[in-house]
Parts: sequence; structure tokens; C-alpha cells
Amino acid sequence: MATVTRRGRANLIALPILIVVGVIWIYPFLWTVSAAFKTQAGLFSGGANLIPDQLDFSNFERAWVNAGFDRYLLNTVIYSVSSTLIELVKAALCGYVLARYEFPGRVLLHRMIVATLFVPVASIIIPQFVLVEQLGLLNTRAGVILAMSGSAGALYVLLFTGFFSSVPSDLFDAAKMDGAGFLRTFRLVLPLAKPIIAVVVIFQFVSNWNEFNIPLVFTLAQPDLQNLAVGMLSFKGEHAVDWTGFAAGMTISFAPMLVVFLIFQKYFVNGLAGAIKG
Amino acid sequence: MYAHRRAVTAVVMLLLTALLATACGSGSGGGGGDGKVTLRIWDFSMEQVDFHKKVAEKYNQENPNVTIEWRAITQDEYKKTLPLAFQSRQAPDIFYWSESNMARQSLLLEQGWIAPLNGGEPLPQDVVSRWPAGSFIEGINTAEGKAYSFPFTENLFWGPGYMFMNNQVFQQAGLDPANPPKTWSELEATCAKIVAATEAECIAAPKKGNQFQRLWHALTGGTMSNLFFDYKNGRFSLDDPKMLETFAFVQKLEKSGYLTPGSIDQNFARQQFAANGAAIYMDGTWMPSVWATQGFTSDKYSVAAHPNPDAGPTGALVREPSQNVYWVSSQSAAPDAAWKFMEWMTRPDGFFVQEYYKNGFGTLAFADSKKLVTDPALKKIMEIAETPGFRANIPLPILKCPDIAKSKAYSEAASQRPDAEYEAMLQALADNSPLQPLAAGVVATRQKAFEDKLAAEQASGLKVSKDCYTFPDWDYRTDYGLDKYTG
Amino acid sequence: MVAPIDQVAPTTPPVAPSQRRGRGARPRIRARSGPSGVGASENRERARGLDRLWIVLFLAPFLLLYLGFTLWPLIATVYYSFFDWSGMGPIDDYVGGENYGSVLTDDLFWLAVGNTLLFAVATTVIKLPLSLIAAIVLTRTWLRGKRIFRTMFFAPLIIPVAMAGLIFTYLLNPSNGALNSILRDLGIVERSFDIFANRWSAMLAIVLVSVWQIFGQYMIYWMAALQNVPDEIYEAADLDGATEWQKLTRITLPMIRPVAVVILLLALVNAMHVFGLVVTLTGGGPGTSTYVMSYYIYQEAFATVPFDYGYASAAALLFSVLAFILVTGQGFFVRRAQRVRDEYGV
Repeated sequence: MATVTRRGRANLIALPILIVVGVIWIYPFLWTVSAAFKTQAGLFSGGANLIPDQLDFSNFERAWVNAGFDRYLLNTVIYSVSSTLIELVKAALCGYVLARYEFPGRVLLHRMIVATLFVPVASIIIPQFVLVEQLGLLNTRAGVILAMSGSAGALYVLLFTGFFSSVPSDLFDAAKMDGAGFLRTFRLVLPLAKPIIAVVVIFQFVSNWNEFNIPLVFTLAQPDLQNLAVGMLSFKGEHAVDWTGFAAGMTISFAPMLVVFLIFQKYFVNGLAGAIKG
Repeated sequence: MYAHRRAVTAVVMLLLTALLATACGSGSGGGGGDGKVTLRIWDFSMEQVDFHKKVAEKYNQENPNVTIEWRAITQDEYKKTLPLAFQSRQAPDIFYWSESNMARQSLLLEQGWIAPLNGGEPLPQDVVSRWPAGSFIEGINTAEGKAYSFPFTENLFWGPGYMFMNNQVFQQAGLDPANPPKTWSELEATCAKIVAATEAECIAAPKKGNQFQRLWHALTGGTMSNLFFDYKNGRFSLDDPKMLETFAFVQKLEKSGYLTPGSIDQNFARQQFAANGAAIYMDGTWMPSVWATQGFTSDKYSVAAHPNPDAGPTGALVREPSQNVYWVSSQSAAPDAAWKFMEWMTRPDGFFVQEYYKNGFGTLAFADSKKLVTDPALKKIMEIAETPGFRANIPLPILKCPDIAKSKAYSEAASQRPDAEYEAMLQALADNSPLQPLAAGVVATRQKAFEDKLAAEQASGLKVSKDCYTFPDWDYRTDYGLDKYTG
Repeated sequence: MVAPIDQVAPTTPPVAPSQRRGRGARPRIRARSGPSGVGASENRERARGLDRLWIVLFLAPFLLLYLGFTLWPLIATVYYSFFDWSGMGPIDDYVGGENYGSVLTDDLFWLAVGNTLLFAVATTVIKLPLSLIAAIVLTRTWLRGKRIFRTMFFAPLIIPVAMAGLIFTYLLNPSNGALNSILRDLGIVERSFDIFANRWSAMLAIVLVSVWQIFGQYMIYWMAALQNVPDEIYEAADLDGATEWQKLTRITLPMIRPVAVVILLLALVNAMHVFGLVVTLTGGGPGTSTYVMSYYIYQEAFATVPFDYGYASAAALLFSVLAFILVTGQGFFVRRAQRVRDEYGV
């Protein structure tokens, strides 16, 4: 009984604060969504107002056609899903080995991963371009996916390394006692890494979804292979920006990512705890 | 053991399928064996995408074996991606390039990006005559007698320096846009009334990076020249007393609260003007078509020439042959088809010209604008530009010293931190400090790089010198005619 | 222990294992057997037999991509930095250290370095504690509506950076932006002000917008870290009658410290790559006063044709080295301070 009232009290204090902060927090977000329904003039004179001057769905129509949602959505999904997968697999495998095993060059590799985090990404796109060209993968989806999943990821290796080195060694000892080999052990502990997997999936998916430079540069001769982020450019004219079209495009493009987040966030909640208790 | 193998297989398959399943859609070739040709054209005119689609369709109707893929990439990205396209040998057949004004052709030749028009043969006379005499200039769009490009938009009407006035805001303030402010003091007086009588700002002024040029070109076009290089004295000129005087006036406007506050960008400024949030906006010939796409039609605003100093104008806006923007790529598999298309596109009464004017995109060098323009705002713009002393042909160093075509001195000096002039001005504006010390710094750096490189080039045998860039007999206001170089 | 900057040589036996790799590693054991860290032997084992093959197989995907898309481009960048090269055509104009010389003597480079570091430190100092608080609150079992609140704080992250910048230029603009119109309506300010008119307020705006956008990411990092703390410890503490505050300071914070080091590193490193917000919010202005490193590099590399790619490469490398030294140096001092504190039992 005492705990119930204590919880109620805590909620009573926390909820109002969270609601106020949260609404301010997503205000720019709401503003964008409402801008998607406004007319250009309404957007401009609206100030802080969130209520559209009229319900103007033409922005969405324009966004669908101009940003090439019908054409580019598939590409965007393919790019995001496959490079997130590759990213996840390579980071998990490498992180596991780095954390669990001693081998020549381990420290060197670890140090290099950390050191290369500091290189500004913008400065190395030309050599990356040369590489994809040499592989004969320019203007293919494979080239885009490779480049997208190749250039990021050192960071996630660090996360996995960190996680796997914090798994109690009892667990590994027990696995060994049971006669589990390398792979069995890996498969045993991998599910424990759900929080990290969720982190990687969410961030990599979001950043792949919005990736702009790579799809643009690596599909120069094949505009059909571009993604939504590049398509969104069509709202930015030489002399003017179609703000409301932009906002509508953004609004359509948000939706899939909110879904991804809602699905994966539950893994944080029931991630590790249960597994370790066992 | 089987479990192991299954897991490995799963992982490997995952990687492979991810890669292979998507490896489809590899590049399609340009020219085919059956006489079919695909011409790829790139530019950054995003608002002309629909128009270009129509042009491509029409051309394909008339020439069934030629397909045109006309593609627009936004300007910032374009500058980055086109070089990459050339590097990877996937450059388009025809491309748009408008960087580095007078040095453009020599730069493109040096990079090996361009091929001559018409296979290097002289252009047919009936084609050449589509342009005013003197449009093909050795070193500008012609090299060793071969034409490489042609003036696209003409350069008298087309350019910066016009003052747009919002009718509604003017009327609210009890002002008549038909009677615009002609001098700086009149501009101040107008602004005072507008600020007092309306909710709107007076002048919508973009202050983000080089977009400050929108206002700057218009005002400095009345005092000296809207270039940061002074061809009279052969030096970079931001610290020139006339420039400083113009800037001091801008600073005065800012202090009086006559400029829109904040470092807004040009899109914002234009929209603010169109939404009756500002009375005045200064910019170029392209504005009527920009506003038309936003539903702000020419009956809602008026156009006038930029205001001049009270003592009368002492300078003019620049007119230079810098409108050579479409080039045939050296990597094109079908340069003949590319030229044929260009010939079709530049027919003075052809489909391209008709539609271009119908859309109100601007004024073309190979068409009779006076006959074709219908938009009242654009008509007014043409009237203004024809006033003597509004725009003047500037001297061309390349005609004085042909070796300038090989010189990099000017382009290197001007491209080192290309926006330094604007950055200095915006700094001074934000800090409300005098421009002079900052300007002197910018000029000193540029001038040193310029003269050092010239000296080095001279030492290596090029016939170039600061003298090539100095035209003491020029007065900023009058055309520097082609006849003046024969001395 | 997550050891990206720990970099303990594998052969050195850990002096104080519980501080070095024990903490996050064996919370349960520690909780039972006290802080001495019983059984804190080296977690890693040497590979034997077939395992070696597996190790190679496991490393291969990462190594291949890393070689191709990070290491080789890096080596190429080092190479380019010794040439006057435009980014295309033959690389034949060897200039030795000239690019480095001119970068080091360029005032704007140092201004950009200063701004970048200022930005990195400021955002980190603001976002890490706040996102930790948010993460702790949003993982409380008693809280209602967790999902909604998490999604709210996460939402800004799914907007592309450049777009976020555009939205805020609109919201913050002095003519008709939301901020100014609200402040005016409330009577807090009389005349609208331009936050981007002055170097310091412009930097502050960039910092705050950046915190707003990236906040959800760090909140999630912290939430993942908090999951590492087993419930039993809290349950044990409950039995001992510990207050929430005691649980926080005595259990939660010490236990997530190893992960905190990584999160700190990530925060600093990511902040140093700030680019899109600067482009859209200030364009480096007023004047050049909010130039940051990647903007400087971008301007040098791509602003004018012919590109100055060799010069930009030199600038990028110099900055990477500088950032590396500063961040790892900071890590070194933090660890030393911690070690000293632990030794004296403070």
C-alpha cells in the first residue's frame, strides 16, 4: 500500500514536468508537420502558430511526385535495411572477437579503430569513390550499400567490444563446461547484446535513411538508384525553396523511422536483465 | 558441428544476398549500335525540370533516335559532383558550368572537360548570326578558332541591380510605387515612412554569406562597379573609398533599422517580401519567374532601378561576356548529336525559345527578347536596363593580353576564400565597426597572391603583367568597346 | 570494461583489476564479494586450434570494409596532402610540406579549431548530464507513459541535420520566427533580436540546437548502459533500506562509469564533426566567426574550382591529429585522477 502511494506521488511530480518539457521538445517537430499542411503564405505569416491556415493536402501530393517517393522509396528501404544489416553483423562479430580473444595485433587494431574515429568523413569521400569505381560498382545498388556500410561502423565495434567484455566470465566458463565451441558460445551470448543491437539498428537505420552524400555521388549516371534524401533536394530550387513541400516530404519520410523506433525500443526495457539472472 | 555450419552459412548468405540481390541495375550505355543515342544533360536549374522534360519529349518526337535525359542537381551539390563524374568517366554529354567567369574556358580546357562544338569546324554563318556581333570571342568561348560554347542568357537585361517594391506595403505607407526612391536619401525617407506606418520591414536584405550580394550589387552598381576588382587601376577594390562609402550607407540603413534584422538567407528574404513582410527587395532579372512559382504575380509588385548616391551615379553594373554556360563534354560518346541538339535549342523561333519565354525564365542571348517577353515586370526590367549607364561593358584583359588565357593569377587570387569580401562586410555589419581595416586586409592578401603569381608566370615566359588588368582610360560608366584594344 | 581509450596492453597484469576492467564486468560477483573484485582475472583468452579460424572469419567482414573505406582513404589522404592537387587529374605537383605550412599559418584554421573544440566541450557538458537524467527517469519502473516520452525525446534525431538547421533558422529568425514572436507576446523582449548576429550567441544557438537534436541518441546510450546494472543489486539495496538517492550515487553511477567513458568519447568525437548545422544556421558567420573544422575543410576543398583538395587533406589530417591528442589526453587525465582517487579511497 505504501509503495503504491509513493509511486503515485512520484508520477504526480514527474509527469507534469515531463509533459511540459516534452511538448517544448517536439515543438519544432510539430511545427514541421503543421507546415506540411500550410500554404506558403500561411507558413510565412504564421509565426509560432501550429494550426494550419487551411488544410492543404497539395503539399503532400507535390512531395510524393517531386521527391520521387514512388520511385525512391524502394531504394531507400533497400539501402537502409541492407547496410544496417551489414553494419550490425560486422560490428557484432568484430566486437565479440576483440572483447573475448587475445590475438596478435588486437591492441593495434583497437587503437586504430579509436584513432580513425577522428578523421572528418567529408575529407575521405574522393578515395572512397575511387575504390568503388575500381570495384566496378559505381552506379549499382551494391556500390551504394558497400559505401554506406563501409564508411561508418568503427563506433559500433567499440560498443560491442565494450558490451561483450562486460559479460561475466562465469557465463563463458559455464558454456565451456557444457562443451560449447566457438560458435555455440557466440550464439549463447549474442542475445544478451540486445540493447546494443537495438542501438546499432536504430542509429544506423536512421542515418542510412537520411544518408545523402553517398547515394548522390555513387549513382551519378543512374538517377533511378537514388534515395529519398536526394529526391528531397528537388524542393530546393536555384532561386527559391518550396518550404511547405519540403515539410510534407519530411513528414512522409519521418513515419517509417518512428515505426522502427517504436519496435526496437522495447529491447532496451527487457534487454539484459533477465538473461544475466539465469 | 552442423549447428556451427548452419550459423556460418546463415551469416555468409546474409552478407552475400544483401550485396548480390541489390547488385542489379548497373549502368546503361550511352550510344547504342542501332543509331540510337542518349544525350545526358546536367545543370542546376531545379525550377526548370518540367520545362526540360517537355523539351526532351519534343526533341525526341522530331528526332526519334535521340533520347534526352535532362537532369538538375542543386547548385551546391552540382559543383562537387560534376568533377567526380568527370573523374570517373561518367560525365554527361552536355553540362552547365558557370564558375570562374572570364577564366572559365581556359580552366575547362586545362581540366580537359570540353570538346569543341560542331566537331571543331567553324559554326555555320546562319547559326552565328543568331547572336549579336562580337558574341564569339577568342579566349572566352572560342579557342584557336574553335567554338566551345555560346552566350546563353544575354547580359544587358539579365543580371542583378533591380529594386522590387511591394505594392501593398507601399500603399499602406501612403507611398506610390510608381514614384520610387531614386537616391539614397530618398530611400532613407521612404524607409522611415514604411517603418512608421506599417508592420512590415523596409528592405529585405539577405545577410548569409555571399547572398549579401543581392543588396550589395544593387547599391555598389551606382558608385563604382559590382565587382571586387577595379579594372581601372588593376587592383582588388573592397578598400576603395567608393566601396567604403557604399558600405557606410548600408551600415546606416542597418543602424536605422531599415534592413530586416538577422542573418536571413535569400530565400527567406524573397518570401518575406512576397508575404508583404517587407517593402523593398533588391535582386536580379530572375525574380519575376521565382515569385511566379510562389503565386506572387507581377501585379503585386513594381520594379525600379536601384537608388543612386545623392550626387548622382559614379559607376555602373557590370556587363561582361560571362553567359557561356553550356558545354559539350570531352567524354561524350556523341558530340555530334550534342551539337545538333544545341543548334536546335538555339533556334531563335524554335520550341526551346518559345517555351523558355512562355515560362518567363529569363532573356536569352539568341532570341528577340523585346518581341517575346510578355510579363510586365520583365518588360519594365528591360526598359530599366536599357538606360545608358545602368550596365556597362567592362574591359577584358584577355583581349589586351592573349596570354591571360593561360594565366591563373587572377582566378587563384580571387578564389582563395572566395567569400572573403562578403565575410568582411557582414562582420563589420554585425559588429557595427568600420569596414576599412577588414577590407584592407582582404585586398592586401588578394593583391599579393595576384601579383606574386603574375610575377612567377612572367618569369616562366607568359606575357602577362598587372598592366594587362589596368585600363586607366575607363570610367566605370561607359562601355569599354572592342575598338579600344587595337592600340 | 569497454576499453577504447583504455588500451591496456594485454600482457600487463591489471594493477587494480576492479577499477580497470572489473566494474561493469562482474557486477554480481562484486556485489557479493565486496569491492576487492574476486576472480577479476583477464577476461580474454588465447585462441586455440579451430578457434583461430573462427577469429579470422569473424574479423574479416569488418576488416575488409575498414581497410577499403577507412584505412586506404586515410592513406590516400596523407598522400594527397603533399601535393597541389585539385581532386582530379594526375597527381604530379609535389609540394612537400607546403600545404601543412600554409594551414598552420592560417588564422582561420586556428579559429575553426578553437570553435570546434568550444562546440565539442559545450555540447558534451550540456547533453551528457541532461540525457543521463532523462535516461534514469525514463527507466524507472513506476513511471507511466515511458514509451511516449522516450519517443518524444528521440524524435528530433530522425530529422536530417540540415533539415533541423533549416527549421531552426525559421523558428529563430527575428522577423517572424516563433521564438521572437513568443518572447514579444509575453513582453519579455521589446524589439526582436537576432541570435545569429554575434559570434557567441550564434555559437550558443548552434550548441543548443545540436543538443536538442542529438539528445535522444545519448539518452539511448545511457539507457543501454543502465540495463547493465542487474536488478539484484537494487533489490539487495532495498533490503538494506537504501534511499533512491543512495542507490543512484552508490550503485548506478559507479557501475556505469566504464560505459560512461565510451559515451564521453563518442560525444566529443561526434561533436567535432559538426557540419550541417553550421552550414544551415550560420554559414560560418557573422563573418567567419563561427567557422568550424569540417566547414573550413569543406570550403577549402570544394568551394571553388579548381578544388584545393591537397590543402584540404592537410587541414583534415592536422585536425584529426589535434583532436586525437586532445581527446585521448583528456581520457588519460581522467583515468589518472580516478586511479588516484581510488587509491586513497576517496
